[in-house]
Amino acid sequence: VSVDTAGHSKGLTVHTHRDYAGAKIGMWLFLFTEILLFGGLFIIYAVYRYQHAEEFHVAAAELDTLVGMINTIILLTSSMTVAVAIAAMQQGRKKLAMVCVWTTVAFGGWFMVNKYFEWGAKFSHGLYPNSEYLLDLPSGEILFFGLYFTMTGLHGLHVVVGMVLLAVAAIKLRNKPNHSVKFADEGIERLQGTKLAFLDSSGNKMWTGDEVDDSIAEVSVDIKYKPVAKRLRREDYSLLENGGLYWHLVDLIWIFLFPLFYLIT
Amino acid sequence: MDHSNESHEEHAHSGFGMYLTTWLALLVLTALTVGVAGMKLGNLSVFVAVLIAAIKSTIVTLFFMHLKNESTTLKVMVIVCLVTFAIFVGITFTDYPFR
Repeated sequence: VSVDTAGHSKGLTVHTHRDYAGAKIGMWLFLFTEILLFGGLFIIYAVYRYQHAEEFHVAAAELDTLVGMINTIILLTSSMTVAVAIAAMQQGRKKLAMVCVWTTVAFGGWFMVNKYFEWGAKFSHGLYPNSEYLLDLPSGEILFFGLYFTMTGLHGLHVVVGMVLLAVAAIKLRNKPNHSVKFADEGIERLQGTKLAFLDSSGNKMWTGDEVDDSIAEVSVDIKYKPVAKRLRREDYSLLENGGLYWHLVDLIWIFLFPLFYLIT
Repeated sequence: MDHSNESHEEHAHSGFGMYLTTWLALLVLTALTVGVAGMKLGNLSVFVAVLIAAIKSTIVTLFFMHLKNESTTLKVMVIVCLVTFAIFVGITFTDYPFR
């Protein structure tokens, strides 16, 4: 659909400031703070494991290696689906991209459901922070479970945040790529006395509107393009890309959590 | 409006293979971590576990996060972050074992 403004086809393009490179560097800087946050916890883990090696091994036997492994595979696979989503977006295959993003969110949900049952089983055995059963254990085991609940809990929180971020990115992409042309204030008088029309690809008028008189304060045209590679700008899906970076970080942290908590028996 | 509906077809599927390979490599390394944990390697097992995790995270960063194709600036920033963390680790472990 093109717009015939009777010779005055130049509107004021609505300009939103977007900075693709800045957004990405900002995201990476944020990821660095996350690395140092979890890094600090891993240092605490290392020191206590060094001091209580034997008790860490005994306590780790309580964890379900199979659940840990399934969750590892879930996160690795979800990292791939979000990477494919972004690659599909670059190729202008928006439908495939959306399927992949929602698949990633679903994998995140599956991870959390497993986590719920895993923690639920621990709780029903009396193993939860500050429980009587836990406080009767040797101090090394208390430290192990303290770190286990803190680190996998904080990681689980990141999974939920990542799911929300990716869902928001997918919803915001619903109307993209689009373009908005606005005639208002200084632009509007150029349209006075003209008629708006919709033309098809051969130039035939499909629809003609009323004359623009001085009662019209603003004429805006919102164009939604077909999502082809040429129309999609990187800025359109930079939120998805940055959400993807965050999701990979969540995967990265789990890559270290899994062997250090589940595989030290 | 535009006649480019088919223009992207030739690029279709390009690039997805790389993600599949990356994913398979990560799964193999996961199996390796689990396998190695089953062996009695003593003190070496922590080292091997962390080493495999480091390899896995390097693969994720380079290919899934596209660091391989990023600017030198961003690569240097990542290295600065990791060196900072390494300094924290270094300071901790030159302190604790000798208390």
